[in-house]
Amino acid sequence: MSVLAELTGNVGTMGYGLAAIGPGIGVGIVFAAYIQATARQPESAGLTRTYLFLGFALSEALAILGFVVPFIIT
Amino acid sequence: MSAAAVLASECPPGDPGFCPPSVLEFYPEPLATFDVLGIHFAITRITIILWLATALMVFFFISAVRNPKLVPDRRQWMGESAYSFVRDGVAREVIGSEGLRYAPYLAALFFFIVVNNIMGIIPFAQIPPTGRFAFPVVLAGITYVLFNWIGIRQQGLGPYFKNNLFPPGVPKPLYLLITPIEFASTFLFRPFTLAVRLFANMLAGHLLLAIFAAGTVYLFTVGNFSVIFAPVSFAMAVVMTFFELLVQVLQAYVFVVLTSTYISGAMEEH
Amino acid sequence: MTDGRQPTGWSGANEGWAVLGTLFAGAFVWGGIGWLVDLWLDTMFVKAIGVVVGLAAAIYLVVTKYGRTE
Repeated sequence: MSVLAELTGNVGTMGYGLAAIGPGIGVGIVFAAYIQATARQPESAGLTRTYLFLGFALSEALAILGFVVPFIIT
Repeated sequence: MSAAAVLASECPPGDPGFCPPSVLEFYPEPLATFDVLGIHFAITRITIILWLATALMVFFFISAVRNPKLVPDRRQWMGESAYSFVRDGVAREVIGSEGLRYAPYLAALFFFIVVNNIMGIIPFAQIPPTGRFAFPVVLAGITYVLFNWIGIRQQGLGPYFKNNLFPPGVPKPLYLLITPIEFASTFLFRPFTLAVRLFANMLAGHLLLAIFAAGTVYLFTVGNFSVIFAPVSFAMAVVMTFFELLVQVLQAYVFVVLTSTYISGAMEEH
Repeated sequence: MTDGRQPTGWSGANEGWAVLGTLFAGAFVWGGIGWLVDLWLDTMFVKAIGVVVGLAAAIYLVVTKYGRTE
C-alpha cells in the first residue's frame, strides 16, 4: 500500500497550531460574555470576575498543554 | 548591485539563488578586537551604532538644560517635554508621588531603548542594537535588581518574600504546590519575559525589513518575469518601515511601564 | 489589585499578562520537577503528570489571586 499523502517537518509545531484554534475561540467567548454582562449591569463586574478568570485559565490551559506536549513526548 | 550590498552578512560564495538574511545579520565582522583580563571584546558596527545613539541622546538632553531660562526656548522646551512624558505620564501615574524618585532612571531607560530601537530604520545604520540579546538582558537585570531591592528595603527581607510567595486565602496544604509556581512566576519569568519581549520584537522587525529589502533587490536583478513582483516587495518594505517605527516606540514604552508597575508592586504594603 | 494606577488605556493588561505567565510558570515548573523525577526513577510518564498537576495548581492560583470579589 503506497503512501498517498504525507505530513513532514516539525509535526509538534503543526500540532500546536491546530491545538490553539479551540482555546482561542474559547477565550474570546469567555471575555465576550464578561464584557456583555458588565455592560448590561456594571455592578455585577466584581461578582463575575471569579468566573472570568476561571474560564480564561481553563481554556488557556488546553493551549498550554498543546504547547508542552511535543516537549514531553521528546 | 547585488543583495550583498544591502546586507551586512554575505551570501555564501557560489550560491546562485536567493539567500535570505538570517540571524547572522546581528553578528557582523568585527572592526577591532582586543582582550582585557581574558575577556574578549569585539568592536563591530553595532557597537558604533550604540555609541552614536547614546551620545546623541546624552548630547540632546545636556544641551537642553544648559542655560535654563524661565521662559524656555525651543530646545529646552523639547527636552522638558520629553522628560515630563516619562516623569508624569508613567512614573507619577503608575507609582504615585513616590515614583518621582525613580523618574530619572525610567526616563534614561526609555530614551536609551527608544533611540537604539529607532536605529533600526535610520539609513546607513539600519540595525537596532537592542536586537542583540545581551542588551535587553542587562536592562532587565538592572530592573530586576532594582524592584527586588526596593521591595526588600520597604518591607523587610522576610515579609517581602512571604507576601510574594504565599498568597493569602489559600488553604495550608496547597502551599506546597503553589509556592514554586509563585516563585518562578515572580522571580524567574518576570525578568525573562521583560528581556525577551524587547529582544524578540527587535529581532523579528529587523529580519522582516531585511527580507523585504533583499527580496526587492533580488527580484529586480534575477532577470526573468519575477521582476513584476519587485514593486510589491518594495511597497511592503516601505509599509513595514512605518510599522516598525510604531513597534519600536511601543516596545520601549511597554518596557518602562512594566518596570514601573513592578516597582509599584514592590512598594505596596500588604 | 488597584486598577486606578495604570496609564489610561492599560487597565487590566498587566493582570492579563500576569495570569498567562502564572499558567506557563505552573506548567513549566511542575513539568520540570516531573522531568527530574523521571531522570531519577528512569520512567517516562512522570513529566506528563507533572505538567497536568502544575496546570491545575496554576489555575487554582489564578482564580484565588485574581478572581477575588472585592
